[in-house]
Amino acid sequence: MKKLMIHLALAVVCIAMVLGSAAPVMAAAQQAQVEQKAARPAKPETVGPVVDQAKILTQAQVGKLTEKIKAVEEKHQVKIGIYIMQSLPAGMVAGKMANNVLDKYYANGQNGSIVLLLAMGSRDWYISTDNTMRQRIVDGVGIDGLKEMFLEDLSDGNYAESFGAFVDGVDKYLAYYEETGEPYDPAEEFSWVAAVVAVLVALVFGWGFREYLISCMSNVAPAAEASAYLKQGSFQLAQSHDNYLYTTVTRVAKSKDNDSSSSSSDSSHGGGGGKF
Amino acid sequence: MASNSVAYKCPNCSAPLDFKPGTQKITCDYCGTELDAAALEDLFAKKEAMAAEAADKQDEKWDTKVAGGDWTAEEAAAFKTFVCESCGAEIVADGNTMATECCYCGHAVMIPQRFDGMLRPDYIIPFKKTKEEAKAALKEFYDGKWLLPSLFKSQNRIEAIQAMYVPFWLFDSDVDAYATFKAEKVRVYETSDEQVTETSHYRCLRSGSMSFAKIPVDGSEKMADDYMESIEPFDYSEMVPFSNAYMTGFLADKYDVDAETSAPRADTRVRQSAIDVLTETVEGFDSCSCEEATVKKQAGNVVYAMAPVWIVTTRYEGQPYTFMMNGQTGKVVGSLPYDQKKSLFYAALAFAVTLPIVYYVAKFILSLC
Repeated sequence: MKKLMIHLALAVVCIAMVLGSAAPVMAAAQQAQVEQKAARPAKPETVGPVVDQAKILTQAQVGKLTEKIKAVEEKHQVKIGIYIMQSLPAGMVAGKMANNVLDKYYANGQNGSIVLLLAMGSRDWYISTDNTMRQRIVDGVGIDGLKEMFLEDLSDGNYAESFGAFVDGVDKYLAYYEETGEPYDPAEEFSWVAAVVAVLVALVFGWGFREYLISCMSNVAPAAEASAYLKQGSFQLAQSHDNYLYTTVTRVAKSKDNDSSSSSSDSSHGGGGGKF
Repeated sequence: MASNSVAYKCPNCSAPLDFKPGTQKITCDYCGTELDAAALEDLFAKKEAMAAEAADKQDEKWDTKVAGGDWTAEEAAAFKTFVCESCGAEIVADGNTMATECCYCGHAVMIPQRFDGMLRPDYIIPFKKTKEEAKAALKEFYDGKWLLPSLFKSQNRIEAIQAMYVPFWLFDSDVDAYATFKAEKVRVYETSDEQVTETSHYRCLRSGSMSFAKIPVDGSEKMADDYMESIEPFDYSEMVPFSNAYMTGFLADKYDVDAETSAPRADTRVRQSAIDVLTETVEGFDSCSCEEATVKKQAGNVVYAMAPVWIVTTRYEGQPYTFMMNGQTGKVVGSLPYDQKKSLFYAALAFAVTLPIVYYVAKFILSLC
């Protein structure tokens, strides 16, 4: 019995010694695992391309939009998200929220990621892009051009059409970039309105210039007055009365600045937004 | 029942105002303009007084009888008239001048006739510019004209330039002028949400007198009035009493429009200048326009003078072109033909240059909207 007790005690001591020596190795391994995880890009949590927390789209519209987004994603190897919230978390601006959503759910698109975030309560919209997408859809002119494609429908409450236009716009910008290697700039697009205005103005100018040259061919003109023959000092002012009659007042309301554009761009995100 | 209202016209829309004496404000029923009664009464009182004064003064007639004199027998004998068979122009020259072509139409044949009497000019402005100077001035006139047909310049018979004394009536007049003006003072200021424009309307009354000296009106029907007015002014300090010695070697046109007929031309110019002078006295306003004006001539005198003009009449593609130069100051006037092809080329060039500029400007403006 005494022998058994001694063997048990030895066994406990041995186990304790083994555990004591193994603990630092395990802690180090655990630490290495955490560091490795931190060094790797975070794997985004999985959601669909369309997240409609505010329930502004029907299931059919979500399905159709999702199909469309997936087609564009596959075509250009990008990630596109449409994230509709009822309201922003307290103290959070739309841009920051959109950046967070992109990082959390839509990061790591091979050719970049883009998210359109809507906060229905505050009527904020924001497009967030990662740095890869930012080269294809640049801040400023690029985002502004994209905005022109969907904002009117968005303001009018035509949400499905607006999101469809957004996806079409992204498709158009990416296709242009893949074709030319340059980001699409709407300002470089041919403007029919400007062309018509230019043709009309140039026609008037051209014809006016011709008329001017023709008028230079003659310096014959009748004299309408005889001021050159007025005797110096002969004018005597006899009467001079100024009578006040009445006053008219016109008031023109100043135009309000409705441009509520905002940007939460940082070193790893681009984009821009505003109110709809 | 007798009405105690006085009918006035609204200064804004000319509609009749129903003005009841004793009231402070009158509102026009038609345009809604609100007027101060005292100011309106004062305005119409002054206007009526001015109109009455203007009506009292009679518009004097030009004293045309004193213009020109009689030729002496010797002077009359020294002149000959030429009648152009082509255009009928009657031109006077001294007996030594053999004109080879009509200065009006360029016709080559003229038949000397006996000099027929006319008024003797009071004054003459002698030629100062020589034929060489006139030719040089005409060549300079052609320069820099982008649309001038190449053939016109190469075929132009600038050598055929002729010197001619043109008859002028010189009108002196003293006038009284009355005018009412509509004037505005504009004040623009901004509030936090509006831009406000306040326009104060005034009626300004002015009257005054002034004198004009020697307004020239040509006495030749064949000489286009606009050409003759374009070569003005002449320097009257060099005008001398007429002597036929100055006529030697020059053609002269015989007047065929008398002073009486020429006077309205001078009257029109005097009236406009008188209004302009009164307009300059309406100061301190942002805009001013003449509503009505009356100009009465108090004295008018006319003299008959001969003025020096160099004339070239040439033809291009069947059309006559006349150029004239003030023989005293050297000022050249005329209407040149232009090349249609050149005019269309320059119009197209201007169009091509303007088009891209306007396109990008329009595009930029549209991007801001």
